[in-house]
Amino acid sequence: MQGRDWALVIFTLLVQMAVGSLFALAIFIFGDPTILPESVIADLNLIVLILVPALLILGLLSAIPHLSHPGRSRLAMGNFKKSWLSREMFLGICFTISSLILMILHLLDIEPKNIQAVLIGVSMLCGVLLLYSMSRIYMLRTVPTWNTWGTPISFFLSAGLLGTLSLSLAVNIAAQGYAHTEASLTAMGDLCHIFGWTSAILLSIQLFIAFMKDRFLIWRGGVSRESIQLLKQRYPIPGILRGTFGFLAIGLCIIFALLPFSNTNPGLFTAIIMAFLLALTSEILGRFLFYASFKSSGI
Amino acid sequence: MAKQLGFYVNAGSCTGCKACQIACKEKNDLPVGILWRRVVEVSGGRWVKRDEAWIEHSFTYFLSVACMHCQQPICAEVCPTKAIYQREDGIVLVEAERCMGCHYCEWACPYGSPQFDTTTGVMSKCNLCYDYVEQGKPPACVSACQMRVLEFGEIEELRSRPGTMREVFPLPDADLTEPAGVLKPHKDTQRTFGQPTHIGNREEI
Repeated sequence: MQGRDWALVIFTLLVQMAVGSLFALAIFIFGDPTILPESVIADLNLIVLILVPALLILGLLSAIPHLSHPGRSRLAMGNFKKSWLSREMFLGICFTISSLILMILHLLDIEPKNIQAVLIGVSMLCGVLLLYSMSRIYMLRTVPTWNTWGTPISFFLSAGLLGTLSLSLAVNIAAQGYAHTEASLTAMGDLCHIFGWTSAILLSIQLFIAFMKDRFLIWRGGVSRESIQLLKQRYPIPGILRGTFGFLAIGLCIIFALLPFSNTNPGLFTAIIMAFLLALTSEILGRFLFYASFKSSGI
Repeated sequence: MAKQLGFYVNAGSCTGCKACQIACKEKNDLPVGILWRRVVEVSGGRWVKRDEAWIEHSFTYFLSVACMHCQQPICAEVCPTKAIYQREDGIVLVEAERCMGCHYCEWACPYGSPQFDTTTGVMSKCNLCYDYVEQGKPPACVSACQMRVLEFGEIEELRSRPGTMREVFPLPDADLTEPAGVLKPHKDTQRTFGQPTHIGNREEI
């Protein structure tokens, strides 16, 4: 793991959080948004539609230190036919543009809604393809540690987890400052239960996959085994911390799933923030270990 | 279409003098930390009990490695800006003006061939001394080898020589990139199977 790889840790996680957040919002919108008061839905849309392009732009900016000649990144789509990095750049730009248009349409309150729905659909498609191409970048046939089924699964799980937690935070922020009826409090409580349980399940799967991937790589032997053994020798603490923070985050997700919704009691909001921060730290450490596990099949 | 060029390495005769490494560095004016051609020191073995005595059963051999100018160059395949490309004669080159320094080729190449030049901020790699080749001269490393371990030429001709292999420890599976390089292995290469073997000069290469 080299210092410049931290730029990629931040970039990949921010982009995955952006894709996940838009997905979580889309599932909510295409589901049954009427369970929440209109004012909360409007604020929720506003928060997420500003958050997504903001995360993407931050992600793209954070990736710049990784390049020694960022100005030449204009050429980066030149090998679209063969290079997954070219495809990732193209899809990243498509996703950023579509999410920016969505934000502008929402801010200017431009109707009709079906244009927004189409745009959300296009953004979701770009988002899925972006996550897939992002994972394919690392699935190099010459790097056996990365070239496994675990890479795309963990990238999609990161997006789902961080997106769900971001939306949980957004709902709680949107609900602040309004007087709610009992029905809307129950609806928001139900939503938080879903978000809490979803986050806990996704994080559990993520940790399980990480464990199983290590077992699989050791079983596969050769360079894969050497890489995992070296990783455990060099970075035992980040591995332990990743698991610890992850399990604490799962606990907090279950707590906020069980707490009754209230916009006057700060307990739920604190639990969601803590769960988000712990899950994010666990993901950062996981991604750090992913980059640190690099070992070429050659010299 | 021009015929694919490549290197021939007779590891059995290599003494590990590193003249090839120095000639390459001098010819291409490479900065500190960059070696387009590297001599890998492979060593291994163990103590073996024979009757009542313990006998040292160790071995060492050297392997001169540079870019293999692969027939399926993964560095060129992954490069997003097409800064790395392959000529008709198979030589894989870097167009420095297009390289954005993303290091992706460095991850992908299993031979450690693309190396980052911190002075220019772009990747650099063995160019098979194409300027010499165009003048009908051999690459600098080939000329410098006093043991005549290194040769270069059309890969099909080199492959037709007896006793050659495409891969030995520590080189990767040749099916990954179809390297345009052939090796005549050192006699101790077979001892790398089933015995503790490692690269002795990891920091150097």
